[in-house]
Amino acid sequence: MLKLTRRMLIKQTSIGVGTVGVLAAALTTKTRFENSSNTKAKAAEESGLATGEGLVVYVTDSATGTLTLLRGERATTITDAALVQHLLALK
Amino acid sequence: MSSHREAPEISKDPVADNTDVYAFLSPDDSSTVTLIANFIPLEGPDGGPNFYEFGDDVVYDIHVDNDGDGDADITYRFRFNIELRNPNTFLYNTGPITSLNSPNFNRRQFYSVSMVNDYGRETFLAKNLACPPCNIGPRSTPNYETLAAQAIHTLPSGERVFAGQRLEGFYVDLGAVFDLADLRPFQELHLIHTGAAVPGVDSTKNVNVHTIAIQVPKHLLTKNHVQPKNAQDPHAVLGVYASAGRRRARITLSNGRTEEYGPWEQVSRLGNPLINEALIPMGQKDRWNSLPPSADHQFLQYVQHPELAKLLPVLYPGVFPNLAAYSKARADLVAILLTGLPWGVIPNFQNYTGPKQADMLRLNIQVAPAQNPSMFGILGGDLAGFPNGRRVFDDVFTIELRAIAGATLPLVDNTFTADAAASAVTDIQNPDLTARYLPHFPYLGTPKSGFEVPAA
Repeated sequence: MLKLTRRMLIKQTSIGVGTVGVLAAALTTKTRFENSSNTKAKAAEESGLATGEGLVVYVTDSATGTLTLLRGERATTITDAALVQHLLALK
Repeated sequence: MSSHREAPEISKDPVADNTDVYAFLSPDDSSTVTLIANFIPLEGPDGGPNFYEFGDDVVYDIHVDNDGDGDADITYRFRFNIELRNPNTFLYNTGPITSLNSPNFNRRQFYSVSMVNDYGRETFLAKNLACPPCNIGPRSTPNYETLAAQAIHTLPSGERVFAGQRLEGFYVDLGAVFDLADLRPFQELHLIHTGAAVPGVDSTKNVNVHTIAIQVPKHLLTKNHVQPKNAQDPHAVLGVYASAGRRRARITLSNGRTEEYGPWEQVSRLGNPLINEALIPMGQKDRWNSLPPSADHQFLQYVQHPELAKLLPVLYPGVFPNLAAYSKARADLVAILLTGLPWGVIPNFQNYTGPKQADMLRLNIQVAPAQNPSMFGILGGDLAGFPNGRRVFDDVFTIELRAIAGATLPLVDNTFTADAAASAVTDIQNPDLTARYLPHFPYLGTPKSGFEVPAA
């Protein structure tokens, strides 16, 4: 099971990613975690990801609020209309 | 071609493009089955300085169905990785490569082999197996066949494997076939006249492919490892196909690297030659490549009523009158390609896997290798050849072309008389296959070197 809360998902996807549809949330890319190794490690621990491990989240159907999380060789589909609306509203 | 560049998407992804699959009882050791899957079509032998290699980001599978449901019961899985000795040179090799661990061999490729069972459980059989280099030329890769032989590995579980460059085994007159089916020996009868007939051209005799070959003791492949009693035994028939997969997401990074995420998705599939190439319509080809054989029922209409069977009488007016008049579903092609031939259709032979329609090679492992094989396989009276599995030298283009032209239809419909042209149509008459193959594993011949075959 993915230990990924909605709060973590927002934290990981709302920084430095302006497009909606495909969101690459690699912790090694330019995120706010980059400035603080402690914060980065803490965030990784909270998400269940190994430090430096990436995660891809993409909105598969914005109408129903369906997202797919790609982590390692796994794919997990979740439905969270509010989160998708939040992502759509990002500039 | 057999399945080279056969679908729009995979034609842009050569390292994952499965070009041919072979399955046959090893002629020099009939206690084993040899399974071969080729990838990377039409390799120009001089294609340096970055010579051809398997994809590190591709998973390569050879599947065996031993219960007739069109799904894999045993999968041999191959994963590759590159090791670069010296990143500060542009050279593939910094001197002659005389062994697989030569310090001059700069860009080496290794692979793992695993077996996946029908429950999806994967067991690694070997890791860090070396591939040979590409055949570059006499200064870089002298004694190439000796070098390549070092890359034949025996696994602790009993299989032998090879992964690396080989000479293309499939032969066809590409230029003529794709020019609105310019076929022999009656090309002067084509609807569009272009002058006198000219001999066929073996378009692939000087190109290479990348081969994954595995030789497996027969009992490791049959259901519950049973030893079939005879050729009539249902356990004697194996369904074989291959595939390649890529991760679902690929991120192109700003530093020139890429990252892959998510599960493996099938992007290429091949069982019988020429199915996705010549039977499946353009708008369905990419989807066909993504599906397992067990889903092939949805493509049944393209086998029952192949477009090419309608085209032949149009392109060659008056040459195929009986074929032109035939409108019923082609039960012969369904049997040959999707279910196998039941016992009795051809005397003393069957390769029937049951009613499930699935595109796979079907090999009856109780049919002994032929002493005097015919390149036309069963059409040539040789029960050990295609469509009983497929050997490296089988003329599958001609066999399938003749079948589609109606040569095999009388087997299942005694009201039909095949046109005389159906048993004569071909692309290359009497192809020269001298030195094209090896008499031993991995059976496909020594790849051409770039020095030997400069660009045309």
